[in-house]
Amino acid sequence: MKKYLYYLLLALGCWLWNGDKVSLIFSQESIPSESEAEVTSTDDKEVGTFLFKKVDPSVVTITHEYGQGSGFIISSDGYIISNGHVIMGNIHEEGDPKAVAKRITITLSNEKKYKGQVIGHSLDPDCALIKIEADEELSPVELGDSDTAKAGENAYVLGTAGGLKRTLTAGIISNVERTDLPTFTKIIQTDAPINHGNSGGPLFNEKGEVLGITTYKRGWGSEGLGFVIPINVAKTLKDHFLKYGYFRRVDVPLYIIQPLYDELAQALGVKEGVLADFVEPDSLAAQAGLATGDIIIKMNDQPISACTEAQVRDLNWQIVTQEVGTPIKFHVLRPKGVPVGRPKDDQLEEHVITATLIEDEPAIEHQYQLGEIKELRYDELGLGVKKLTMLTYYYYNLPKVKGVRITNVGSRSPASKAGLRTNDIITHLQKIPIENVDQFQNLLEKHLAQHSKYIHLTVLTTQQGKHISRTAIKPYYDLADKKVILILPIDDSEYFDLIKRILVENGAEITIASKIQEIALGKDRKIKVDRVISDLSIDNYHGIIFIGG
Amino acid sequence: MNKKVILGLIISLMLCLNIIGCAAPEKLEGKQVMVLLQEAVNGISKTVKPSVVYVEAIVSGRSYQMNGLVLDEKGLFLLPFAIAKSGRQNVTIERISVWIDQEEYQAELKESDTRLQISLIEIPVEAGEGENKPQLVPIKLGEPPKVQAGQWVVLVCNTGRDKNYQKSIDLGMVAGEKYMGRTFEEIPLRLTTLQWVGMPVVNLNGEIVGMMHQGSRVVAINEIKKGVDKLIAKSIEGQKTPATASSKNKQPWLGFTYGALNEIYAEATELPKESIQVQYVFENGPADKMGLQPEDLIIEVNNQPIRETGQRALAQIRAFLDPEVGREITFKILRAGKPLVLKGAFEEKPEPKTFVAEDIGIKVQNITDIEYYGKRLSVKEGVLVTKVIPGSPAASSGISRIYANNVIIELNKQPTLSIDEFIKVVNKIRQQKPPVVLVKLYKGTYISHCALNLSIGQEEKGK
Repeated sequence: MKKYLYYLLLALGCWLWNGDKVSLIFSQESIPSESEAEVTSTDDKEVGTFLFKKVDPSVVTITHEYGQGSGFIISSDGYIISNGHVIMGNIHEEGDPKAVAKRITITLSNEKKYKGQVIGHSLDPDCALIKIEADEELSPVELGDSDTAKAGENAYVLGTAGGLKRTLTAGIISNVERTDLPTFTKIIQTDAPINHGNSGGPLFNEKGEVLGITTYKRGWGSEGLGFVIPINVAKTLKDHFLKYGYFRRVDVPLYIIQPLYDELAQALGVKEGVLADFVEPDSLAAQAGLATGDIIIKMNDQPISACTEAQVRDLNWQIVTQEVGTPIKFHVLRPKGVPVGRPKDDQLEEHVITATLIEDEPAIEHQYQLGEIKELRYDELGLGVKKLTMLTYYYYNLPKVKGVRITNVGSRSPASKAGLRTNDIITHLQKIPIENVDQFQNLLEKHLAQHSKYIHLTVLTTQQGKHISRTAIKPYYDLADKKVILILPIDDSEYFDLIKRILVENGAEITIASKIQEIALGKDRKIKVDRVISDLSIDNYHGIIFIGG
Repeated sequence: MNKKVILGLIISLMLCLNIIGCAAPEKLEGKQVMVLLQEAVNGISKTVKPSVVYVEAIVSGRSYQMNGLVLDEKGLFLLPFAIAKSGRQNVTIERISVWIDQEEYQAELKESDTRLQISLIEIPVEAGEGENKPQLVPIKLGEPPKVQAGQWVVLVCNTGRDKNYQKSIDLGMVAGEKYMGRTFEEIPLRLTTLQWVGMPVVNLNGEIVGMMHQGSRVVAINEIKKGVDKLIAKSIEGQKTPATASSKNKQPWLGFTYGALNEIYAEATELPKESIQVQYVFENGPADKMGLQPEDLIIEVNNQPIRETGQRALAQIRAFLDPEVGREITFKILRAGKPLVLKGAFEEKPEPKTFVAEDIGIKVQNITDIEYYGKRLSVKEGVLVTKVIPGSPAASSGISRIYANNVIIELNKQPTLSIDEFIKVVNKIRQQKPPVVLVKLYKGTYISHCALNLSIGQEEKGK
């Protein structure tokens, strides 16, 4: 279900992420009024010191080559929870929003350091699971139940605020069902001071139970608006990461739901349920029998209802976190005669829809969420493309044609000189219709290897009017006639794809070599090299590149 | 020898010496060159100034000040201003005032050229009869003189009576060759301190070479002269067949979109770069009727070949097209490498059928191929929302509300696939007065629903 399409329009918000700079911070406890002071000041101090003692040993600082943040230990065998964006790697270079930092160090509160290994992560909901192999006893936090969090109760945050480790700040929970940010789930809002570096750390209540992961704050000109991912969301994601290594969302694509707010319920003539606002005509949902305008009143024989956005997000969460292959049943109300004809009268008929949940497509980028789709980028040509998912057409208002979507055009690059623009769709390359990104990559690299002077593209322009345009890219081939040898390690080559692409774009003749004939490029990827190092004579080559691993 | 002959010889000799003496060039000392220059500038300023008037125009509530050029003694002036016909609607000229000899006169707009952004304005003949009749000195728009980089030019402006600074002339320099700008031929000038729109740019011989226009660009005088001649001819035509209010607003339309041919693509396919590529042809428009197709390459317009490439080709075709309702046009195109000649004529751009649903708070119109293409709609059947009135039920209908460019296909559970259907449904709603109304609409490529509470957001009527 893609309900966030509506609510993205309202979102503002900024990241909580410490890059290299450290911002000035101060930690401030809520100052009690005079009358309160007489009664509770000693209690407050005791609660604070008690909490610090309890939670501090569980909070860690996470540092890697691109930045730092916080996290907290959830099990004695070394599992740590933090934000997905805290362990984010070089997404730009790799073109992959799911790139992970490679040299992660976890520092415990006693200053001991361990290497962190990412078990799985997601950027929305922003959550990550990291593992360390500790040679000492670890103290995990006590996980609370975020469903019991109440607006007004005291909240405490512990983390590496602004680079300052083990900083405790306090405030209250300001709201427990914030849906105005473009996040997948509803989130908890707090006014406890949060700063860059707090990301990934725990927010906990007076008993020391962790209620969420501190993640976002609204910056510039706002005060005390911090946002926290509920711990129950993290618990579910932890299971996904352990089982699959990523957030394996399921659904019956493609339909969008909307809450039945007061007037809408009245206009539709129902009291409860949730509206299937739009069902994609050729999708599995449509084939299963779901139609635009259906009012879903039961899911798997249980009555459901959502009249607020928060309830819609909760419902959506229930559906998408299930296992692939699980059957799902909807009872829907639909005016008689629809969708084939016009409604006969105001009578609503009940229909039953059954389907099986399948794995959902990767999320598209929107607002500040980076999505999950990899970008295939050729920096020398100045062209970046992404695959077209079902939701991409709806989010960017694109006509439904096959091809690849242009997501990046470098300024004054061959792609920009060819008149290409972001969000246009490449439908043909050298007159061959494009089906997907892999085929596009193979075709393009074949022509680049042949040093084709012009690479003809057929593009559907989508941003100013919609029309077909034909153009051509003229690559520079700066390394034409140059023979380059890439020497790879036996396993886990870093940036192999990127380097190979740069060489191909520049027209170099590439030979791949290693110690042995068949090597592993990473998880589940093996290739046969062109030459084994022992039979190599480097005099025949203009350049040698050693790839690390 | 004859005495007369000798006398004649002596007189001739004297005359010769005299002539030679006179013809011997005086060696100008440095300062003298500057003195001559100053005199020239001063002289030009005195000659040209009477032809430059100070003008104030009030357009849609905003006031603009500029200079106008006197075109004849009867009160016709050139104004460097025109309202673009396309795009913004509801732009009105409320008042044009011209100051002559410190007296204010109201002027009327006669004709406009939207490409050159110039207009003819006229002070009605009755104004200032008798002794108070203003003395007008028309600007000399003779043969356009040659313009060369490095030439000195004088800029003359009229700042009006109230100005605190009285700068009215400047000395500038032509900084490059005349070139085709975005819409007209321009002369690059070294930056000057005077930036009055409408002021003439005059060479040291007193001949006008250009006119300062909006954006500190100087329009070449050949464009202005042609433009003025056309406008005067149009206004004479207009006097013969008086224009009605509606015909004045007729937008000439050919019904296709075009762009510059990408130069790399032209190279790759060996197509001429000096051309314009047709991008989209609107259904049943004049271009469609004449047989124009997307990807056709226009190489000649009315027997005028396109000689520029890229962006300049766009400027050139804009000048060639010269839109006017009813005017015929001939294109020579290349289709699949073969030349073809197509003929057609400009028609009036179809006006959309609009409707204001006040109770709901939206302005809608019907959908033609123009909106379908221009606004990137995904359906043609429905009504297009062009405006949501702030504070109305449509503006307050919750998170999933109506926005401009949405297409309404159902209202109150009744289909609204045309504007007539929509109006019928709105009238029924007005009679039945349901408390809430369901709206089904397209937002881009997906459908959404929202409910309007018609009892809120209505204007408070006076009691």
